[in-house]
Amino acid sequence: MNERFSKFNTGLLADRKITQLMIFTALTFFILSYVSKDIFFTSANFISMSYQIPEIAILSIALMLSMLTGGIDLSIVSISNAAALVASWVMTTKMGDSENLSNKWIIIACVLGTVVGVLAGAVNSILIARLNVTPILATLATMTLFNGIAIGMTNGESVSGLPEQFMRVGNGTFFGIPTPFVLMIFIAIAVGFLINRTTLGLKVFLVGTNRKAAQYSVMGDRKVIAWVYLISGLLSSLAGLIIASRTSAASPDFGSSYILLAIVIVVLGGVNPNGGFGTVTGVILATAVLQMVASGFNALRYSQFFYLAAQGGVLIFVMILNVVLERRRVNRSIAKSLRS
Amino acid sequence: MVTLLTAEYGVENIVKSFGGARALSGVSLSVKGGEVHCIAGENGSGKSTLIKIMSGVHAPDSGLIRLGDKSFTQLSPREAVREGVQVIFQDFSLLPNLTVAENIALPTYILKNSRLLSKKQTNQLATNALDLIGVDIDINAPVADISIASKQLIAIARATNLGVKMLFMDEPTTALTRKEIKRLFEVVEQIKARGVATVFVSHKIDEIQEICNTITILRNGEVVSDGMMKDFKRQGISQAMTGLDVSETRIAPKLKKSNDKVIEVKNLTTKPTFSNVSFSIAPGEILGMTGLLGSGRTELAEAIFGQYPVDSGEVIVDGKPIHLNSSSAALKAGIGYVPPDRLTQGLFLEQSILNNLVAVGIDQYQSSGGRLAKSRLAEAGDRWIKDLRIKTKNPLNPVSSLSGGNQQRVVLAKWLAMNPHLMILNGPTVGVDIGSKREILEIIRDRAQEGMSFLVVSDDIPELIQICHRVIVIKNGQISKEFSEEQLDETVLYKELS
Repeated sequence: MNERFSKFNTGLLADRKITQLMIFTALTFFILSYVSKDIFFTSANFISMSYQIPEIAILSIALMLSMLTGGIDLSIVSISNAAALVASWVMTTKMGDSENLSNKWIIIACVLGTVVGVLAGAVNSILIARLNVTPILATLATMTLFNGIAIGMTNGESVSGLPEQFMRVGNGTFFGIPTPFVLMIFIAIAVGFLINRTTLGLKVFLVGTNRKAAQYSVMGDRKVIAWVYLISGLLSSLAGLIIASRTSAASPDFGSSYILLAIVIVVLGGVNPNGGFGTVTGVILATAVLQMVASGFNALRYSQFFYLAAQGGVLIFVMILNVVLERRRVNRSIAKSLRS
Repeated sequence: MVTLLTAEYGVENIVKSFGGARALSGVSLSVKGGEVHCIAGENGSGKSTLIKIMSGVHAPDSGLIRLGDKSFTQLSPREAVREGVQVIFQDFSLLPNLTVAENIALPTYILKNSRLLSKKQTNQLATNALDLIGVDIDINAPVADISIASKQLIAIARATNLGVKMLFMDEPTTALTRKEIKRLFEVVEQIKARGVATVFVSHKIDEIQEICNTITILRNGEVVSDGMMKDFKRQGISQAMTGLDVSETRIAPKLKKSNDKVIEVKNLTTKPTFSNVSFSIAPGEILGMTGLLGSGRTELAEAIFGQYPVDSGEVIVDGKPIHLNSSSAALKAGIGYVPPDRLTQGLFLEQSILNNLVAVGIDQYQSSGGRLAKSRLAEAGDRWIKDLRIKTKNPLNPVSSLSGGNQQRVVLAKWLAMNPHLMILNGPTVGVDIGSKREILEIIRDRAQEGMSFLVVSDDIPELIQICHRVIVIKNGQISKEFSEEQLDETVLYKELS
């Protein structure tokens, strides 16, 4: 009985998408390994990928949450940078001229960073859930706002020279696995639990499927949406801390192309842009695919610009595929309902 | 004119399938110019598929479309218009931001492929069209500002402008008062005299008997009966439509006399939608509320449930006034509400049947730390599927895979699960086949017997008479009359409505 319901939120449709995506991932992997045996299919490349994947994966998971409700959070990268800057500023100020900083202050700095993320998320929540501003406009505005504040406070310069111990998190390993990767798995499991195993998660899917019906079902749709942007802010700030720790710096304009990349990943990962359907697994797989394509492009010495074009191409391809599959599905369900 | 009057319009042996399922299997129908024909049938009988084939939306798998002396194996929408086939849908497909004149003239410009508009020509086209059907409406008024009845007349005028030869009217009288219906029928007589073949799609048997000359009855994509209207009796039509000998006898349970009140509505007012509405409902009582479209009946129902703003007044549940303008307060007080539009307001279409069944009160299924108690959820789902006899093999199938009647049961179940004191049902059997309708009414009856109170909002008068203890009629946002159990009579109620 329980097993029958274990996959219950996402339904059969999403399962099929995951299977497709797994095949897609495997294909990408084998093709690239085949054409570029000596550069792509090397442990050095895999290690480097496993340090790059986590930050974009976490940002994509954050984005997925808002897209599940049928909205979007364009401010994730700005929030991530703001959180990284605040944490870095606290650390460098406390360090002064010394090389080291006590663990206590590193933790305080990180906590302050996440507080920034939650506060920024709260601004989005108020705009979208309370004041009914369209998500894409509200977060476009806050994206610019947070980014502007960050540039203003730092004069556009990056904060660097972070303490040793902090850098060890972003560049170290945990039982042989890169620490950021472990953190990503941890966050993925937590968010997976949130959306599949909690009442809030079920509400997220329902609100995303039909906001009006959610209102008539009195499930507190505003509260659900407020939570989503709050959590999105928190996750973005965690991504920011990981980035700062890996690069030993924080800058107001880091990863400006990440927002587009995250959208590509989320859509490729099978999240319905209209809301209501999507899985964390899908998003992680999609991140892996795109990172492999990026590494493959590097390995094959294609230019970065072509990689950008490839990203756009992938997005268009997936959306066309979705439309075609959706049309087939709708036709089939019309046929089914007529037959019954 | 003479040729028009003898011309015949219709279809021969039309077959249409959607992915292997037959929607129409060999339907033939013929309407002469100057005739008013009725297509009657239940939801899913193939009425709308037929209209869509004749207006060029769908292509038939086989069969012929005959328009006068031309025949077609299929039509494009543009060809259909060019050949004089026009459909007036229930929502009239008018553009509310444009004026009456612009609405009437625009399709003519499009048909002629002219890209430039002239104000003078627009007004000319509109005036001519309105004169032709003998109607006087201010052509410079924006369509958003005029009455529903006028909108309908504008839609007819627009059709005549396009050289209409065959005019379909889909449920044209739903929103009209008796007087307006009379006016509409006069206009129909006008276009009939001009040789137009008019097709009425309606389920109001009184009206089709009044206006139509001939009738075709569809069931499950086949013509079950056709002929002259005068040869059909009321009972015969509904029996042919449903294939059942449907009894419309009262099934309302006996109500125990009591002075208790589950809910008291006092002077509920939101100007200009409704004002000073007061009524009360006793335990186990089924109160009917009816009124024309736009009378304020839906807004009133939603106001009680906190989905429509209330300016003043009181709603008292079990002796305590509840906080207005809040659905969560209404829910807490024990009020449930099944909204009128199942597809957009009631269901999460792409989600599973199970998720839909538990959508109200998800928090009940919370175990420690916000965790979802999935086994309890699944049990509840199975129980409701069994209780309300929802036909499905797997509760994880999307709710969109169910038929209308089963979908409505899902919406009903999600609220019954909250065990409300008062259940407000807005159009509980709209778009539901006759068998399911009966079962849904029986579910209401059984719950009422157990003491649940109901407010049933509906424009289906026979249904209200079947199930209600009392019916109030809303007119212009006020209670115009109340009918007690003994006074419930179809003719009287229809008369009060319009």
